Amino acid sequence: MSSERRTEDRQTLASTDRRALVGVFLVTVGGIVQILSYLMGIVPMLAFGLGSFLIGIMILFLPESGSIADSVATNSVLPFLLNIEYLLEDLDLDEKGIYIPVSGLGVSPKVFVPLTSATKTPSLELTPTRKIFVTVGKNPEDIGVLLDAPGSGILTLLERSLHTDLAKVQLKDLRTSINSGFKALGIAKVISLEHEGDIVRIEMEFRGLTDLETKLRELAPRLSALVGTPIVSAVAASVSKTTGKYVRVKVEALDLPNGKISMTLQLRDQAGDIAK
Amino acid sequence: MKNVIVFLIVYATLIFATVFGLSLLGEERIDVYAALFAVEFFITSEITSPFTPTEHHKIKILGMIMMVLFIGIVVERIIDILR
Repeated sequence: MSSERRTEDRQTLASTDRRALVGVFLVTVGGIVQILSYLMGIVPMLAFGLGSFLIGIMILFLPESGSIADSVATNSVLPFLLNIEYLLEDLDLDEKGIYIPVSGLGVSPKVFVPLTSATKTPSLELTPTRKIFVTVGKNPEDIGVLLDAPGSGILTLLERSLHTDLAKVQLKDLRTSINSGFKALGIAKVISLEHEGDIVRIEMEFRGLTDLETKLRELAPRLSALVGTPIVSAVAASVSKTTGKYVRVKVEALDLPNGKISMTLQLRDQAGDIAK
Repeated sequence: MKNVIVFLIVYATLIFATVFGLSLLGEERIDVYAALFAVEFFITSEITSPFTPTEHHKIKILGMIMMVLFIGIVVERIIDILR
């Protein structure tokens, strides 16, 4: 059993405990009221006890699971992300993806996965292209895969909910902007955002998409590591837009029991060789 | 809000409204209360569906128990009338 599965079980258990307490309370109160009212011959009280007992039993018996809409959304999007995973596997790509900065309301950065560590940094003009396999230089290794960021949809929704182009937001205000947007979408909350030189460290508490984030890490480890899961990708894309710099997800970790994601992003100007 | 939570809230509200209403009317037969609880169960589960497959399966089991309870009450009442 994987550690993620164990922690997920623990989280479910804690939630089940709270429900169990309410359920046991209602069953106990209902049972006692039923016995006493039966002995005293008070029928409405007996019915009240029966009602409490029934609801208690149902709380204990019915499982707590995610919403059906979340489940449908996760299972719909998963095959498409798995296709990208298989593509990365087939091409044997091991280099971290680079988010190319863009600007404009609802426009999301694309992510370039280089063939080797020696591959040139892609130019900004590459973003509007619809090609997947792109050449970024004259050398044979200057090729890579250009993908829409897995979090592009989330970023677009975030910007539309805020009516703000994140390219016009200062990095110091990004935490507030992401928090407002993610709160509106019911996805996550940014706990901290620290900027130090070319490194941005972000810690988040997620509230939605838990199923997708955990499943994707299990089923698509290469995509998760090189490009990022939808939430991580949306944040990396936001940072890229706000700073106007190329961004690479250096490290990211999921702490499922505490419901937290922490990530370290590396910023580079166009002149910098991010892939090294 | 998850459908199963809505189901529990709506069902609890209906049950306690039924107890309040029938007790105000002076109803003294427990089988009337129980039969209404069973009917309300089916109404609530229909209006708050769909459920996830696990929830649906468990609600189906509860539904069968409620159906047996309801049929039992009706049969008993018919036997009483026929006597």
